Amino acid sequence: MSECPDNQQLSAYLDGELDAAECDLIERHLPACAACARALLDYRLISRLVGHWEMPEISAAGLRKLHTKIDVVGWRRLERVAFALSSMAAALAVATVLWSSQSAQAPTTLALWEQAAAAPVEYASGNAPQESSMAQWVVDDLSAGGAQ
Amino acid sequence: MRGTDLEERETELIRRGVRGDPKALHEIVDGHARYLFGTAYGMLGKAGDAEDVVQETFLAAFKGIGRFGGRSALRTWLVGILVRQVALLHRRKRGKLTVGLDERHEQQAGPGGTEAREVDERLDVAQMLGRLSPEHREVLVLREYEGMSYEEIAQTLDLPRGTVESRLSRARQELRGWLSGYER
Repeated sequence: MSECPDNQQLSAYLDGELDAAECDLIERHLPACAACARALLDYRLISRLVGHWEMPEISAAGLRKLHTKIDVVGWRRLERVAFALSSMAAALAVATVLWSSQSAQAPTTLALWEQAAAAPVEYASGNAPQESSMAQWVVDDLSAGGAQ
Repeated sequence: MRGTDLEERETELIRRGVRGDPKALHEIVDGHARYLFGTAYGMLGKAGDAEDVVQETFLAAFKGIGRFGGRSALRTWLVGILVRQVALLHRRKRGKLTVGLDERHEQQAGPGGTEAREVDERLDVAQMLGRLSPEHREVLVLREYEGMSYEEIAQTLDLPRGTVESRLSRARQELRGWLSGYER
């Protein structure tokens, strides 16, 4: 490379972001160009200064504030979960009350066998149907139910 | 602690953090706050702003900790969030952002001396970075302090790779001009 690389190329070379061919051109140019060699040295110095800079530490007060904030957020999160759970419980309770009140109002048409079971007096008085007729009831009732 | 031990420990902390275990969240803060503060300070140049950004970073991270896929290290993930928080702060302060540093840094160091070694010893890096625009400072810190590649910086800052390359180059030229004042 007879021409000097531009600053962007030199910077990318320092960072190892150029491909092999571009690196080769720059490496052949550097020994012959004091200005580019000097620029590269300066870039390296900047890189070293920033890369090895001992960054200031967060203050103890700052760290405490951070932990306190995390606690506050944690409590808010718990409150949200508790609120969601209690809302679900309330919704479930309302649904249960509505369902049971609807069940209580529903018309109760008892099947024949249930009527028979609910009328033990008939059996006690000897008016109960014969066993075979009882069996026929059940079948009839089921057939009727299935046909509905 | 070896790399894999650290990863296992972090995975466990994250698992507990997802379940809302406050002790795990505090441990994550203790393990990463200092480092994140350093990066934030390097990018912002003001301790107060850096603390605010670190706080916002942890809050955002803990809110979305369930989305941490574990494809990168926890620190890398946190740095990504931190960088976005810095960008948000810049946006909020656009027009009001001062390039200045904490007063203690502004009072230190001035041009003089001859050797690079002396420069290294006397130079206040914070002051040096404070001379850059926020855009130039953040790419330089991510490159030199975080050791990110151009591609990683581009992804983190959501910029084209070419923009990262040119900002880095301009940041170095600017600092080079300033450094020359020390060496003459």
